[in-house]
Amino acid sequence: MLIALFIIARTVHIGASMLLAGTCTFEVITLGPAGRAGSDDFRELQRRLLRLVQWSLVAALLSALLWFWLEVANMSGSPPMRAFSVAAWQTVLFETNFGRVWQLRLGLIALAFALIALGLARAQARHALIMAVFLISILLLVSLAWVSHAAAASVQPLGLLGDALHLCAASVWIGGLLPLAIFLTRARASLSLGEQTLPVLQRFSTLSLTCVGVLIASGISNSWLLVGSIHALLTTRYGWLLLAKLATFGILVCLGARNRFVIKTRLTRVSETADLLAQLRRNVIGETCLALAVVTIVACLGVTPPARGL
Amino acid sequence: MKRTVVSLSLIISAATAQVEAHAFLRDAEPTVGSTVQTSPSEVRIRFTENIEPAFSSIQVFDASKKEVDKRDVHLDRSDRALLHVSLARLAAGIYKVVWRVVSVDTHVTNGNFTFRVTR
Repeated sequence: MLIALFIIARTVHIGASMLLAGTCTFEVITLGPAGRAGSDDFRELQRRLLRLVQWSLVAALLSALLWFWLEVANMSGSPPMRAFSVAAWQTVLFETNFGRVWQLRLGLIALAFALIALGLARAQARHALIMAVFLISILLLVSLAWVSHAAAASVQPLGLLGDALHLCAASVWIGGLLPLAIFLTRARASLSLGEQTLPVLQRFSTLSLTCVGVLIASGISNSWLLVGSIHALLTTRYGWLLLAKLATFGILVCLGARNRFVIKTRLTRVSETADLLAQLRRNVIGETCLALAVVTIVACLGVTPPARGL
Repeated sequence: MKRTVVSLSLIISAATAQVEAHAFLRDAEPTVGSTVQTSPSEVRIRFTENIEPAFSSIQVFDASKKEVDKRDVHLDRSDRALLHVSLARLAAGIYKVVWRVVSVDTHVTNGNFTFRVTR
């Protein structure tokens, strides 16, 4: 029961952190200069993206509290309902590596909430606000590496660096899928957004391709540190979960490649644009579901002993 | 969507079927199952991962289950994977070492072993 709750808390927390970073990256990089255009449709899109950022932060905060509560129970050995004795949570928060990382994460989440509240009151500061939240989202991702298996890996700082890069690349790509789906939904009904569809998709596609390269390089490095051999990959639970993740990742890459091909070859023809946007949107929603499966597998890997240690 | 929910449930079930812990005993002094001639002044256990001292413990019991360590478990100054606990002077007999540790990636492990003191 505790392990299932751990997997749920990890899935939601990692997923929310990735969505936060992906949404900010989408607005800062993928939308590009179009994001600062002043039409009503763009402002509506920005409102929706900001709402996504806010909900990501809410999910990240709630799941962080759940994860913390579960860690107090896990580390102290108390039943979950009795885990919140002051001494136990204070010891976890102030005397463990996990607690110090959680202080930082909760502080960053609080800062992001404060910045958003400030930005909502002063609309002209929106771009600076998004840049600041973007930086916070990257720090949130990088700090996750300090509570992962990588933190306990024998080769440092390679373990932490590989994990942090892996998280950032995954977030920029698959964390950007939901904002992309929102953009495509709005672009079908808006002339001004429709004009920006091709450059936005091209930027997202190029960014995704770069991320896939980083994911493969950091994935090989992490696998070498945590699995160590083909035999361990094929004979341990950690290895099987990693293979499931690789298979899902492979499908995601194939779907991404198909979308890239469609964008390059067919989206330039105006007559096909409406149908293609609908098709791309369906593909992106399908990829988002697969991305959720990948994040769940990552959460399962987090509670499973690395194959190298067995 | 239904297929995604089913897949996620299967993944969670597979991972929750048996989750083992992460910091394993690498070596100990006195060594596991060993016989020593004189009373050791402490028990040292080195683990496969760095550990959190706040939630880690080593206890040593004699044959009558009386705790004979000095309850001063502490981490080594230069090795965050090495735990020490001091011992009172031990008489001849078999002693059981019971340990529980939390690794820096927050996973809990526990175990025990015995050693014999001959005089």
